[in-house]
Order: sequence, then structure tokens, then C-alpha cells
Amino acid sequence: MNLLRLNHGFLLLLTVIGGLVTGCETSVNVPAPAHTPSVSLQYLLRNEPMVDQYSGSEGWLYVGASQGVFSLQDDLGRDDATVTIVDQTGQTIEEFQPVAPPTSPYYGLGRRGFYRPERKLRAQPGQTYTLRARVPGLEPVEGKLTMPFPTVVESASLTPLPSSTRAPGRTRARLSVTIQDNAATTDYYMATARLLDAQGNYGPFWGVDPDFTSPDNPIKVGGLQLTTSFSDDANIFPYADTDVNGQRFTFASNVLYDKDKCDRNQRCPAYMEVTISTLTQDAYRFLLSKRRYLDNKENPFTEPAPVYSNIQSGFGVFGGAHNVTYRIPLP
Amino acid sequence: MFTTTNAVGRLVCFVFLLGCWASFPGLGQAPPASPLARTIRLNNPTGTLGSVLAEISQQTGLSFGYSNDVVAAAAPVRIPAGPQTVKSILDAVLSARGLSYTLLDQQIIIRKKPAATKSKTITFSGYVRDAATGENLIGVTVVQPGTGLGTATNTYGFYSLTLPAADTVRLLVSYLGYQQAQWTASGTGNVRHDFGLPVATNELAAVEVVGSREEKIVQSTRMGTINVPITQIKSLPRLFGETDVLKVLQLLPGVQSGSEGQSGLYVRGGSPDQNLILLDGAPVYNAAHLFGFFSVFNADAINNVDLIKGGFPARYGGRLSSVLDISMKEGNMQKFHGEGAIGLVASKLTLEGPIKKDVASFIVSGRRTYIDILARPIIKAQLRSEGEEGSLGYYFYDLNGKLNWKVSPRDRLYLSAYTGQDAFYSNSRREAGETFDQSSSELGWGNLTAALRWNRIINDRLFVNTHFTYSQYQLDVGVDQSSRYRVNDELRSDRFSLSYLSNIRDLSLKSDFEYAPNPNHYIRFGGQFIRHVFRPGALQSNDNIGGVSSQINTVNRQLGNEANLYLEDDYRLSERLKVNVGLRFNSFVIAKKLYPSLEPRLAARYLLTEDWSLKASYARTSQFIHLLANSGIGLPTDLWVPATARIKPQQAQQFGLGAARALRFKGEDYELSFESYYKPMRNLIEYQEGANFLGNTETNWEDKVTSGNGWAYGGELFLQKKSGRTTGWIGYTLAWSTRCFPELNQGRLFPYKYDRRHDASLVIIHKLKDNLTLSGSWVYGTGNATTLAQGRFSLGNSQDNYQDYGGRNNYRMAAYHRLDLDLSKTKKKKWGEVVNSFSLYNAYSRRNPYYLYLKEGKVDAAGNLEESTYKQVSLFPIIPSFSKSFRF
Repeated sequence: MNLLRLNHGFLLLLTVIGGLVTGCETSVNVPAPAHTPSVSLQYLLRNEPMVDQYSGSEGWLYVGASQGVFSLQDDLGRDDATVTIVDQTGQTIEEFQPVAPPTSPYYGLGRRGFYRPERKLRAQPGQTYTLRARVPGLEPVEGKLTMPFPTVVESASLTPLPSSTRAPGRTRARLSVTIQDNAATTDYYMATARLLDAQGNYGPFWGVDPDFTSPDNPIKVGGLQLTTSFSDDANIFPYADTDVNGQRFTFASNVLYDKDKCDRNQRCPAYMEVTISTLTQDAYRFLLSKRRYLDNKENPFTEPAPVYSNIQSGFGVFGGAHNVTYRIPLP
Repeated sequence: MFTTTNAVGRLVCFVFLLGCWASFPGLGQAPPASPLARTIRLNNPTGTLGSVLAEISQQTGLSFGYSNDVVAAAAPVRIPAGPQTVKSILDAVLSARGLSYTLLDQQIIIRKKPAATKSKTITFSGYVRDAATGENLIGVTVVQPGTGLGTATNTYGFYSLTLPAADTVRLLVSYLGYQQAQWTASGTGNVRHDFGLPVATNELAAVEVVGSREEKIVQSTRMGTINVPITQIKSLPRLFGETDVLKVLQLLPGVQSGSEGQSGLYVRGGSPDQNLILLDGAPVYNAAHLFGFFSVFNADAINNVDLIKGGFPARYGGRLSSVLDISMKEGNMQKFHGEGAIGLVASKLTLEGPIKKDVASFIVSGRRTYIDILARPIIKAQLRSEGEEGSLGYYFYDLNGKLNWKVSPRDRLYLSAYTGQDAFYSNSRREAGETFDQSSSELGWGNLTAALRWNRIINDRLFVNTHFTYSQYQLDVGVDQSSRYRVNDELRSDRFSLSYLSNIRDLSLKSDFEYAPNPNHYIRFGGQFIRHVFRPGALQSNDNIGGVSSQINTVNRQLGNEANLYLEDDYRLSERLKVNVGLRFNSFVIAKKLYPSLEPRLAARYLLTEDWSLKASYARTSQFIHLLANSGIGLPTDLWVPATARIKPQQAQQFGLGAARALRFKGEDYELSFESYYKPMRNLIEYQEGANFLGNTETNWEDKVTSGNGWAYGGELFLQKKSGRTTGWIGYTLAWSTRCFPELNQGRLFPYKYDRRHDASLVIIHKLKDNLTLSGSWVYGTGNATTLAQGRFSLGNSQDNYQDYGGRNNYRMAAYHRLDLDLSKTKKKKWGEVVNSFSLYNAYSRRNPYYLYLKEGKVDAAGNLEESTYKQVSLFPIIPSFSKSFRF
């Protein structure tokens, strides 16, 4: 048929046009969205103050100021903030003083913005606390929480496991912890563990890590599992007990620790101390969102993961954690 | 915080403003005195009935409508002399002759008085077809002139009209683009009669426009329903020379496109998975080729396209936002025909004809892209220059087929099937002596549908259609790698293969009954059972690397059973008020969990005047399947998953309020409609924040999603020009679409990503000459909403800063607008005709946003800092294309 008189020239033309139209992608700059600098803040209120010597900056308050997304400013911390915590009667019960820019690996690599609590407040379960922060040039911010009630650790045990070639020199064991749980409420937990000497003191490098090296470690997604520490960026596992419907539940995890690592004073680990923290819902949501953010920040195949905040007109969290501990002699 | 009250308030305000704009007749004015009360004096009170009516008309300006079968104009009448009201004159001359009358606007309709006692009725039934091809015609009006009684043919071209018995009955059958048919029969017994309508002229056929085929917009109870003729679709400009049904639908008010070039439909604030797309009754789960740049529907194989955006009749269900009901052609019963086209990226061919004349016919249609074939020599040469043998490319194809068999005068069977596939493939092999590296990979996705349908006329008033359908959508990813290499003196081989698939399969049995007991009722009832088989992600992996073998095999599936029953009635309560009322019961069972849903449906039309009608509708809908889709472009990796014990079915209600008007301006017909809607939705799903949308399996997808609610509301204005050399329409939509999910955006309300405040379209088709048509379309839409980081902050204990995204979907891309043009010239040949079309897509080369990305800053070699910035990527500048289509 005449209409099908397709010669090679026509085919070539089709090819050229096809190539042109598929290579016509263009891009132009678009203005950055407007951003108003605001206070960023992080503080976890506990039933007992953290000890600097053991916890590093984990028990401190951090205050910073946000910048536009394309700002090149490196250190966003602010050391000129005025921060207080008031109770439900409006009385100031905690104040903070800036800490000189720390320089050790524990203390944030010399960055500004850290504050130490001055009054060593011991937060009481069921009480409501309000944190207020003022930073010159920025809108004042506020966060509020009601301290959760603690759980009871009924029992805990450590069962030795064969050592792993993937974690040479480290001791492996199976940690099992049973806690009481209020079946009528949604509670939020986080579990951490560390080693102590015979006198109950914590030493450097005496952490307990979840054993991710072992393929037989039955880590249940969405279940309670061991977190390295609150300040750890990679392994934070806050847990909501929505899938537990009883008066108690048990969680278990394979763990790694350095049983034989003694310090220069020949203090050696003797106990594993397990801490079960009952969290406020805001703390749970913040920690969960922070983990999602850090897990996915470089991944183009994920949804955006904004970090949860309960700071009005600002960023970050004012969270609460009620800790209970249980010591297990090292096997 | 968003509240329903706010939404309703804004909607009411919007309705009010647009209502004022549209200027309802008589708004704010005192009602005028009835023309029937006017007193006149007849100059010739003793003439014929015809002369008396003519004199009333002359003195009052009133016109009369009647059938000569009903009114004997030559009959002598005698009226008392002197001044009298029009009413008293009409009562005197008409009542005695058994006639009644009704005033509609400035026209008096004269009819036979209904009999005082229940009269015997007769039923006329049959099919209306194209006289030349035997193709059933859908939506043809069949009326008894002078009575206002009538019906329209259904999806299979069948009509049933029950009328009062009479000595003779005349029927008028009309359908734009076809010659009108009149038929007179004895009205004493039930009659079966099939109509064959000849095409009017080529010119008339070509000016068919949207919404013109079914009953007039003013008369219909249906809201949010638009019929799009295929001739219209083929007349409009096209991208890369490819006619695209779905892209034409995007030009209608209330229907939005996703982003540049996409064929996805976002109807009244809903998502694409909320559209039920039916091809001959079988659902099509992914209607997109090449990531949405083309739709799977080959216009040459399609007979009819109906889009329902709201006011859903009870016979439709299973989706929240729309029903797109597409009917394939049935195949020419009379003669062998063919048509096809050669385009820039694809060619297609359709053949149809009788298997046995007037008894059975067939149609087959195919389309395939050929960029991969044309580019193959270049790619092979390039690979060879790199020391490899192999190929890579992409193609898609569609195949449609249908058989149509008149088994008996009362029975008809249809067997139709469709399959389409997209495939990316890559193969390479590099050899060096006895060693080699070889790999092949393929990404493919496609639909397969099949439908067996049986039409039976049980009796003249009862018609049944039974469907048995199968539908499947499947994504396949396959990778196979092998190598042979030497370690010292040993020759070793490694092999790795992986295949991932996800699919959804439906098997369905459905029966629809249509019963027309009398002209005031048209009852439909029926039921359907669907067995869904979901396989959201199955992975098979085999490898033998370094002498160690391993195997992964996950092939679980989920089964869901869906059943429904419905009953609806098109009920004419009076000449002014007509309703479509119905009830649908849906149920879904999965893993012993039952989800029942009772769904009332109502649509009503009230005739204010003959040209003006008010409409209202309500529909409750539920949807038992979800589409897991990421917030970027639509990918074939988007997964269909069922409602489960944890993830509840989606539910919606839709309230509609509107008005329609038929206009005539300078001898041309127009239709104007305004519709407003409010649609609250529950149990919608989205990916959780931070969720990875790759690697979903049947076990983990529930952990990645979160449920919430949505609200969509707005108004649509639609003005169509329906006849003349220039036809087309203007559509405008003002709309809001928002979502609220407890686990997203900190539980705060956020705009849906395709929340589009303003959406406008202008479509014009002008016949420059009988064989030369110029068409153009211009669209405008508010920019899409997206989530962009706007700031960064630190929380101290991390080396990295966190990004502040602001609210979800808080950033608006630039507005979208585009002009497309098409010039088509038809040449007659001895064997048929050829149409040469030249199209310009994006004629003024607007750089419309496709997506935004962050370009990180860097320091160049000279030490200069290039700052970070957001970049907008635009896909298509001006795209000229040419296509040649033919028909014989």
C-alpha cells in the first residue's frame, strides 16, 4: 500500500526525532523556601539526674538556632539561652548553665549549645513540667510533659552463648528481661544495658551492644529490643506496647560485651545493669522519628522523614523517661 | 485545625458565588403572573383547533408543542365570544377532546389525558445499531413524541419502553451523528424491533462533542457523568503522535493530571487507585505505559468511554472516586474493515469484519513501540566497541481482541481480551578465551484481562447481562548473572539469579438485570462475586558463588473475597422531578475478617424550566483494596494490597449539588453545567514517614503504611458548544483536597500532593474545511504540592544537622500551563482514507515542573564555592509530532 511506503530515510528521521525528544529534559533553579530561624532544643527529663562522669552529654540540655537550608554555618549551637523548667504551680524548679565547649569525644567535639542542669531535679511520675527557653533574637519556645510511671522488672537473666567469629574477643550472651506492663494503657519503653564493677561503678568502654553480627539473633521488628544508648544515632529502638496485651511481657536479645576488659585501676566488670525506661509519648515519637531520619537521609527511595517535635514554635523535644534498673551478675 | 464545618462553610460560600455568577433566572425577583391567566379576545372564535392555537400563540407569544397524532388540528371548535383567559379557552377546546396541557416556560405542551382507570400497556424493545457496521449504539434516545415518554439504550444497545396501549404508536430514535429514525407500529401488543441507524453525514459525525450522545444534560438525573466520543478523542492534539484516551479525560473539569505527560487520573481530590477502570467490564489495574506517559487504551479498538465522577448509581461500586467504563468495539457485522496509524514512537493496526454476516464478527487490534528496534544497531555497535555483545531497550505493546456472536434473537455472546506489557531489557556478554561474564536483566509489567459476556432478553421488559471476567496485573523483575573464571589452574563458575514479582488477580462473576415495567420506572438489580488473589511481593533467589549455594523462596499470597448486591430505580416522580435511588450492599472477607458495607445512593433532577434543572446527589462508597504508592512519580512498583484486619477498607461519602442549563445562542447549541461536591474519605493509606517503598513483601507492607482521613471539596463549571463548525468546551475547577493522618505531619492537616486550587481547560475543534480540522487545547493548573527542606537545625548529639521540612506538602511548584495544537487533513483514496496529523505539544514551550531536587553545593577547582540550590526539572519543551492514520 502507498501509505506504508516507509523507506530507510523515514526510519532514520523517526530515530533522530525520538532521540531529540527524549533528550530534552531541562532544569532551572527555583528559589529556596522561606525559613524563619527558630530555637532547636533537646532535653530528656529523668527521675534521677545523670552523672556527667558516666553519661557524657547525655544528661545535658542542648539549645541551638536553626538556619536556612542552604546556610553554610557549621556550629548551630547557642550558649546564650535562658532555660528553666517550672512545675504545674508555675514555680521554677530547674535551671541550666552553659557548659564550656567540651572537647572530649564524649562531649560533642567542642560544639556550643550544651547546658548542665543546676538543681539536679528528680522528676516525679504523674507530675507535669514545662520547659521554657529564650534565645536572643529568636521567638521564645516552650515544651510540656507529664512524667510517666515506672515499670517493674520482675526478672532478668544472662545465658552464655558461644563466641562469634564476627565479634572476636567479645563475650556473647542471651539477655532475657521480664517486665510488668499495664495492659489498659499504651506505654512506651526503651531498654539499655551497661556493665558495672563489683562496687556498682561504671567504667569507660563498658557498653553492652545488641548482637547484630549473629544471623540467629531473633530481633523482632516493632518489638522491644536493646538500645545502645539514648544518645546513639544508629541503634535506637523505642517501643510502644500496642502489640502486647497482658500484665507482663518478656523481651530477649543476644548481646555482646567485654567481660574481661579491666581499667588501669584493675576494676573489672562484675554486673550487667539493665535499664528499662518508661518514656513519654513525645519522647517515643521523637526517638522513633530520629532513627527514621538518620536511617534514610541518604536514600532516594524513601519518604521524607521529618523529626518529630513537641517544642512549640521550635524544633526538638522535651521528653521524659522514668528509669528502673536491674543488675545481673555476669556469668 | 481543619474542621468539617469550615469545609462546608467554604463550600457553601463557593456555591453561592458561582451560583450568583451563573445567574439563575429570576433570582431575587417576584414571580411573574402565569401567562395562562392573561385575558385575550379571539378574533376568530369559530375556526379550527389549529387556528385557535395559532391565534393564542400570536397574541401571547406562547408556543405550543404537540404531536399531530394526538392533536387533530383541523377539528372545528367553537369558543364563546368576548374576553377570556388563555386557561379558560384551552380548557374549553382541549378537555372535550380528551387532551391535557402543561405550561413549561413559554411553551404549552399538549398531550392525551391519562386514562382514568389503569390502561393496558405495551412494551417496545430491541437493539439500536449502526446500520453500516452493526455496532451497538449506546445511549440512543428512544421516545414517543408528544408524550415526553422515552428511554435510552443501555451499554449493549438494548432498549425497553413500556407505553399505554393505542391503535398506533410512533417512536422517534435519535442519536447525534446519525440520521433520526421514525417508526410507527400497531400499539396493541408487545413489539420487538431493532433499529439500524445510518450515519448522518461525515460532517455531522465529526462535530459530535463531549456529553452529547446521551439524553440531554438538563433531563438526566446523573451528576458528574461525562461521555467522551472516540471521534472527539481522535480529533485532539497528541503527544508523540499517540492518541491517548486518558489524557483527553484530564481536560475535563474535576479530573486532574498528576504531573507532566502523565496519564494518571486524579478525580475530585482522590488518588489514582480510587478509579475503577473497566475494559468491557474487567478491571484494569495499571492503565499506564512507560511510567504514565501513555495509557494502555488503543483508541482504534474502543467504542465508548463513560466517566462517572460522582452521584454513582448503585450498580457501580468498589472505588471511591470514579468509574471509567470503556467498551471495546464489537467488530463490523457487515464488511471487512481496517484502520491503523504510523506514529513517531509506535504503530498500530486494527482489523474487523464479519465471521458470518449479521451473525458473528471479530475485531483484533495491536500496537507496539519500535524505538528499541530502531536503536538496536546503534546500541549493539556501541557495546561492541566496549568489547561486549548484547542489547538493551524498552518497548510496550497492546493487543485487543473481541468476538461477537448473535446466538439467537434473544441471546448474544461476547468474548473479549486485552493484554499489554512494558518491558525494559538488558543483555550483555563479555568473553576472553574460556572465561566469560554474562548478565541479563528485565523489568516488565502489564495487564491481562478477559471477559465472557452473555446478553439475554428474558422478555420484552427484562434484560440480563452476565459477565465472567479475569483480570491480572503483574510486575516482574529478573536478574541473571553468570561467570566463568580461572583461579590458579582451576576453572570455576558462579551463577546468581533473582526474580521478584508482585501481582493482583481477579476472577469475577456478575449478573446485571434491567427491568422496565413502565415509563416511570427503570429498575436495575444484580450482584457480583470477585475473588482477589494478592501477591504483593514474591522473591526467588538462587546463587552458587564460590561453590556455596543458597536459595530464597517467598511465594505467599493473600486471598480476598468480595461480594455485592444492588438495586436501583430511575423513577420519574413527575414531569419535573426524577430520581435515581438505589442501595448497594458490599462485603469483603479476608483471613476470616468480614467487612460489610451498606451504601445508599441517590441522584435527583428537578426541572425549573425546560432549559434549567437543579440536581443533587449522594453516594456512599467503599474500597477494599489499596495501592501502595510513593509520593514521587507513579512507578510500576506501586503495589496493590488488600484491606486486612489491621488496614481497614477505604470509605467515602460524596454530596453533590448542581445546576444544568441548555442554551441556544446565534443558532448554536450550548450546555452549561455547574456542580459542587463535598467528599469526606476515611481509612486512606500512605507510606509512613521514612518508609522505604522498595522491597515490599506480603509480610512487611503493613508495617510501612499508616491510615488517615481526607477531605475533598470544590466546584466545577463546564460550558460545551455542541454543534457547528467550531465545537469544544471550557472547564474550570476550584477545589481543595486535604489529608489528616495521626502519624504524618505530627497529626496536622496537610494538602494532598495533587491538591490543585485552580484547574482550567479550553478545548476547541474547528473544521477549516470538510477535510481539514484544526484543534487546540490549553490547560492551566495550580502547581503541585511537595515537601521540601526549608531549614536545618542541630540537636547537639549528632555530627549531622537535621532538616526542617516545614509542613508536609508545604511547597508549591510553579503553575502548570500548556497549549497543544493539531492540524489534521483527510485524504480520500480509492481504498479508503488517510489522515495526516501534525501536532505540537507544549506549543509555547512552557517549562513546566516535573520534579524538584537538591543540588548540593561544591567547591570547584579554583576554590570557588558553588552554593546549594533547588533545581526544577522540566521534561518536555515544544514537541512536534506527525502521525499518519488510515482506514479502509
